[in-house]
Amino acid sequence: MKPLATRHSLLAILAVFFATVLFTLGVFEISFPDVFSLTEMGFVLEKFPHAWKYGLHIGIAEVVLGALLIIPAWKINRSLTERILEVLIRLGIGGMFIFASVFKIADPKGFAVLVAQYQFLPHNLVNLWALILPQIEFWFGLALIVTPFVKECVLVILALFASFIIALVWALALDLGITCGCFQIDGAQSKAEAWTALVRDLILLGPTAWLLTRENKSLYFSLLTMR
Amino acid sequence: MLKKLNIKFLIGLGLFCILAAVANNLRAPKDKSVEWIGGQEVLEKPK
Repeated sequence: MKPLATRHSLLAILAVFFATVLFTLGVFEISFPDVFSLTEMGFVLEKFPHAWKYGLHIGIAEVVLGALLIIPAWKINRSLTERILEVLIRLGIGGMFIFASVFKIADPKGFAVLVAQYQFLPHNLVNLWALILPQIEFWFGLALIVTPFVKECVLVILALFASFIIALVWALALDLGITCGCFQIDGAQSKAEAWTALVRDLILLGPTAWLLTRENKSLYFSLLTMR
Repeated sequence: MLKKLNIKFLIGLGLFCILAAVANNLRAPKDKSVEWIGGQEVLEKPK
């Protein structure tokens, strides 16, 4: 490999790395401020006491900047950038769905209570949906990571995203005042985090849908052929 | 694109998810399992 090509590849890798970090920080800022939030850090609040009000805005800005950073990486080395992104997105989205399903599988009744609060499904279908949805999240999330059936898994995951978005819009339109219930059960009666969950799901639709343009192949093969 | 999809994989994994859901509800303790057909109470909206 020529040195110049290697330097270019390194630049592309660096750009993708920073893009991923920014994008991930943005998603956390929007959706998981309890885990990590720049706008609630002590040193930020000292300088900007009202920063905590703008978590959603900062999160969206981080996501947009992260997405824009992909452009130079793509121009430098398109093939490498796409392969790295494919690996990261499959691991990220698959991992997120697996993580989100664990508490729902552990406590079917708790999750069924959450589903009932949306008042969207007919009463007699609530329990069935609460039992089956987490299994779909877990197994298709896992399959996205470990099987070569990328397109198939992505279609199912996109359908899940669509159902979450519809349910959240429904909850907001009816002003139901419920928590998302996406990653935890506690607080089925808490004030709505529906807006942040909706923004997060809309943002994640993009990279997930992009995976439909990729070939069906195993993640291991993608990693092996990366250069 | 639909023609290129592996329908057997989709149906197979879908059926597996249903079986896993049944098994999960059976293995869950009584206070965490649900009736197969039914729903839950709609709680009062928080103020």
